[in-house]
Amino acid sequence: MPASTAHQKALHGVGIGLRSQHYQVVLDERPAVPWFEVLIDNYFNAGGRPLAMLERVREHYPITFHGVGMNLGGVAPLSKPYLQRLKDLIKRFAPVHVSDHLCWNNHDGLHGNDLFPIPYTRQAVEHVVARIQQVQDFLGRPILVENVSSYLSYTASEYSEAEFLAEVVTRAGCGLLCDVNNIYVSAHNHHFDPGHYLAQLPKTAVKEMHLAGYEDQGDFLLDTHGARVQEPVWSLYQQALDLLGPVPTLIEWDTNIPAFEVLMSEQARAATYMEPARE
Amino acid sequence: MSDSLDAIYAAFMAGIYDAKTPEAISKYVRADGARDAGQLLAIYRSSVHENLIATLEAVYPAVLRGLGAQPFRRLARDYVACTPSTSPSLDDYGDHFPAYIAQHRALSEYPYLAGIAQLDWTWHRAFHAADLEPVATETLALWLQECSHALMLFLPPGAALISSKWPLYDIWRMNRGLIAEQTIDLQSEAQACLVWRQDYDVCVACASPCERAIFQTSKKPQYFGTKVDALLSNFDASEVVNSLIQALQRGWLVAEYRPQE
Repeated sequence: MPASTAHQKALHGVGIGLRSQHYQVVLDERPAVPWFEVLIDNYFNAGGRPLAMLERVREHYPITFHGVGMNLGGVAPLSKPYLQRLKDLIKRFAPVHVSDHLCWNNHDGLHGNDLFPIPYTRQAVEHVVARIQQVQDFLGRPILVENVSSYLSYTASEYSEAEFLAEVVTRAGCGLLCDVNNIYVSAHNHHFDPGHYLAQLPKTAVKEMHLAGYEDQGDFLLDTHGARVQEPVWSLYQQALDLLGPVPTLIEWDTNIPAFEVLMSEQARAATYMEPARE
Repeated sequence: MSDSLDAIYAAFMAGIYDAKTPEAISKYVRADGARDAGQLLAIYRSSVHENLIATLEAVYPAVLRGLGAQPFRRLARDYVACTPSTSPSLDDYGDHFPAYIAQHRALSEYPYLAGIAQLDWTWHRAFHAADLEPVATETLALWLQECSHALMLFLPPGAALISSKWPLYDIWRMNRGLIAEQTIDLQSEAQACLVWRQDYDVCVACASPCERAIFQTSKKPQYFGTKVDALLSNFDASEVVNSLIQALQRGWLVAEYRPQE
């Protein structure tokens, strides 16, 4: 498939995040998964087994790219080497979607390799919109931006997170990757109504959803992406499907990676939620 | 651009890597009733530090096994505290860990440990090194038989030689679980290790003095005959030729057919 048209193909159903622990089972057993998402920062090296495995998986499945290093909310200039490498990989693997997070992760040469929240200010809207447009111009295609889980809020914020997200996505002309788990975690930590949050999103911009697990730390929820999807998140996912329709959804698991069967059982459960929404 | 975003991020990042300065963030972060700004930022600091410690555990498995989980964790925690990440890729994190170990006074009873760490790091870099189209075994055999004078020899991406005063190869293999636990006599012969990749598998082997010399003289591409001539002053001809052929067959040295004009 030519890279230039790959992103025009639509995704359907419930995909799974591809992890190195599962390369062999995916290639040997070809599970009935409609698509896989790739943590693309793990494939930025020059060569080696991960890229070779990805080539083979790509022969059998559509894939999407999900990144963590674009630094869309940061103040340092966007990294041209980073974007060029991403562009090279897009050309090579023709992902259906390319996404990253609405966050910042480096400043003044120091990297957190984590997803830090942006202050929800007018100034930040202008700033982030310009950077998303810069990325989209460079890549020659739209990207999706994802809401992150957060544990603190800024005194400078002038918007709610949902308002900020809607404003940025609408003005930047990008898509939205709605992480249902992240909404739930942030809603719990910041005492807002996750249903109200969902209702404020620009519906037509939502191109993908994520489901993952959090851990209850007692007085706050920690987004670990290292457990099964929790029951309240399934309930919120049902609300999201009712509101947004059968948006392609991903089972995401980043730490304490379990056997592939566990991901398949989560995938099957998500599919049972999605099926009625498709009718 | 924005001074205020810049100021907020500077205070945030200072709190991530310097636990003594969380007060700078209190101006920008709203306390949530249960926690003040510094405590909220500490959630992020803990996440960043744990992630970097986990990265070191993944990249340095022989050091981890050699020291044990808890001592390694203390060492990694101290390293992370004084070594912020400076790359968007976690695959780049930990490159100074061997030097940090070498200078660590508390580790002086493990004088070989920095070498073990260097070998772990080199393995990690070789794993991700650029691919090289392999020369078919038959082609290589034909080249060696018919036109060795026209073969340019060079090192493949990721190939490295790690020297040590200690029996590094044996200690490293034991701590990667490749050989059984045993007592290794630190006074036994010093070992240097070759690291390279064969297809997608990283290989580590103990290098003979002749192989070390071949490696050292291969940092710049050199014709087969030139290399043989250069090594003859220290090794006999059959050892040099056999070692070169074996190096090419194993893949830590590669050849390109390039007739001399």
